[in-house]
Amino acid sequence: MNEKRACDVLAYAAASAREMYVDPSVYASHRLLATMERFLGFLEEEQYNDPFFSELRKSINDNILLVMTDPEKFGDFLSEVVEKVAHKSFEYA
Amino acid sequence: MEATQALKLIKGRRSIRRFTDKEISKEALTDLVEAAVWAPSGSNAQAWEFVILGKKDKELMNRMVAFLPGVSEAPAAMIWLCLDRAKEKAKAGKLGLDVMGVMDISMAAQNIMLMAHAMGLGSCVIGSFNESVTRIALKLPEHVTPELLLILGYPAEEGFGPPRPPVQQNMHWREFGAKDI
Repeated sequence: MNEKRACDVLAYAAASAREMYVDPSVYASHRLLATMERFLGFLEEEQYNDPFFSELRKSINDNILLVMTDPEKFGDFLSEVVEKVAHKSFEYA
Repeated sequence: MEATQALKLIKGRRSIRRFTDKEISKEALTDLVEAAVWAPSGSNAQAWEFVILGKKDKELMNRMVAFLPGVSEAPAAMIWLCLDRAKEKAKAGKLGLDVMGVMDISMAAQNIMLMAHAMGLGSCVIGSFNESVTRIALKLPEHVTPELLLILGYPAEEGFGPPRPPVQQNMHWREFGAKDI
């Protein structure tokens, strides 16, 4: 990841940390998902080949707005994301 | 315009967050702001200011997007709706500063979004942004505060409309809770 993209990650994390202090708490989850989505986008720019990353990014894009329309499904989706990342992570064990 | 057409326009506007690469002309952006300034204004303060970023400002918008939730890439244009607090205070006093100025900005934003929809543009209103970042990026003077951001462009997605409950659910005739006249 180049320095500009690293700065982008820092920018979003910093702005999110500030706004999460006043936003409704569920938007903390939303912002962390959005951080993941952006990070995954930067990985795509670096042409990582593992389809896991692009599929996870698409999944986040498809579901992130559930925070506004269906909080229960949004909660389920958060669990699903953790499980997906866990399965991937333990491939490296 | 007939009432049914107006309602169709209002219902047809959806929040759009992804746009094509097609640019929005300076004339079209000017028309949008023209629509904005015809919004009602408490005490006729008209203390709104509009900072517009367009096709020449892609990199600046990308820098701002890095800090913004709900936006993943620079749109074709941004309109930052700002309040001149000195003017608002002079014309509308404390009530203006506390409440009316922001209401004026909100009504102006709705005018822009409806006008944009009528012009085939998509838009999304964003209220969660960092004021300091915005001040730095737009070089706002101290007495001018950013209140709302509209991102705009030609839609690259269908907006989705969360359903509304039957309107009667939120209507009260003469007194709260009375569901009929």
